[in-house]
Amino acid sequence: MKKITWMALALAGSLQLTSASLFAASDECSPDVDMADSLDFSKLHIECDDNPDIVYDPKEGTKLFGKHAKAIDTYANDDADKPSVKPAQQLAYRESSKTSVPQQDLSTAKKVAKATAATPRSSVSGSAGATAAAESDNAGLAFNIREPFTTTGGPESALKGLYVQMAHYCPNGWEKLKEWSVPNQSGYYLHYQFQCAK
Amino acid sequence: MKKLLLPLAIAAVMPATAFAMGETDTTFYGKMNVTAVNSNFESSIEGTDESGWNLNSNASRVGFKGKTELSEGLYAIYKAEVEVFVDSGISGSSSDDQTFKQRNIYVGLSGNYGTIFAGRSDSVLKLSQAKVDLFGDLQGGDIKNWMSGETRSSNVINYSTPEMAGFQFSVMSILGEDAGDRRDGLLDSYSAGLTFKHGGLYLALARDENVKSGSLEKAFLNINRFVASYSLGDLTVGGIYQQAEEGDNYDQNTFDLSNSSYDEDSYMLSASYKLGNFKLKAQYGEGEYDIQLAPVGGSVVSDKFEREAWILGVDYSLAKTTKIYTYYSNIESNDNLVSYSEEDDVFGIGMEHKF
Repeated sequence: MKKITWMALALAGSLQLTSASLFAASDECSPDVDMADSLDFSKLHIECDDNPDIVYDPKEGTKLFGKHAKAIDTYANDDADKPSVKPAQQLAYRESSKTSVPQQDLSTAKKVAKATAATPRSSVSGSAGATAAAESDNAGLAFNIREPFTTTGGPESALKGLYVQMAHYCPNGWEKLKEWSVPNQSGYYLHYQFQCAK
Repeated sequence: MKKLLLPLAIAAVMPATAFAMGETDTTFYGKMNVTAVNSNFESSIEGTDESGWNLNSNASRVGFKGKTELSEGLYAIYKAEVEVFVDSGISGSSSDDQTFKQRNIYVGLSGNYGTIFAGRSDSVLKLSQAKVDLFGDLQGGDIKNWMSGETRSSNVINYSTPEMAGFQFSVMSILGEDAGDRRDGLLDSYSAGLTFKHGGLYLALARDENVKSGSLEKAFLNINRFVASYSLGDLTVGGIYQQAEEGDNYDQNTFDLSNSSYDEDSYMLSASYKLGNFKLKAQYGEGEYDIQLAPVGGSVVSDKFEREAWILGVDYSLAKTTKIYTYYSNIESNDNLVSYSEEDDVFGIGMEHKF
């Protein structure tokens, strides 16, 4: 057992020698099966748990079966018309958490910030191709978007704006997940929830 | 009066406004790990040599976990995980064939004040080793071949603090449910540990107090374990050192006298290096064991034995979730009392897929 002493010293020495870059590595989310063998229960259940297979809402029943990506609300400042999923709040929770923020979550947050900042609020003008190039890294992300329409004008004007937005966020294609309408002062908002192709 | 601590602990993680009802989400996860192994066993007793090929399922498992937000920052959490047997479909134990063998299962609360849960779980001491054991669950590779304390316990109540400046503390009470006056207190049997993480550095100090060990010496032991690992780029080094001795209820599962004792000094060192899709792995371990046996009506018998293990292996990643691997291990044991020795060589080639 005397070997232990020099082995421990060797280990400590190597740690000391490399102390300059001691804190370089990141604390990323691992596969669930690996995190399940760890003492960091908060990381397993809360911080790295944003992609459930089943979501059960007591008001609506089971919403989805299959990989479910929570949608990013592109119009989060308007309280009246918020959808039920509030990714902005989730991201804010992660940002404010005292514990380490998983690297991939930060990466997602940056994508969200970039995507929402670059998208026009109403009908998109300019070249869709140019914006597509800028948003080519949203694969797998889901978004909530909306466009206004009136009963007299019909929803065609809203559809055009919605499809331009979807092309902007998902230059490689998308799948529409949900559609709904909410009244506003002059008519309605037509809402789309969609997920970018992976 | 100690039982009063439990509701107080639960109350500590619950804010007064915890009555909202949010979404419940569930995530499935697991892994399948199977190895074809060729093992050769030799001992100093003539005629006991054996060799052959086996197909092993290495703690393959499926599980699901989830959470429900009860109020701002407070969640109900749960996890249920069972082992499945990819090789034969059943556990293979002659006394207890099982299609699914329960692993960790619990329900609890998690919030800004930490996490509390109750159920069946790996001990804090076992979990404190993180991934320092590079050949965990593999025949001839897992540290349980020469270290006690790789334990999963039933009837546990665990509390873990939030991570604060890299530090986190966990304590797990293991309720005895014993009749009579043995292990009837909340902390008569517990596992506790302090961990520290910062960047690539991981340190842990853990203690088992009168916990029935799930590996090597499967009796009630007191164990102190120190774990260190450090990652620098593609290189990761780690080590575990531990001392174990008989716990208060050691005799319960050995001999019916109070003169029996157990002392263990064991350690392991590991290193891995990523080279593209390859990962080169090496591990070395050693243990010394001193046992005093006191059989009924007989004199105390002392025994000392040693065990030494080394393992080399290579992983090749096919994807982030999937790898194939090969390894070779050698474990030698020497018993000084009866001049007995044995040697076990294992060569394995396998595949692991996580989901």
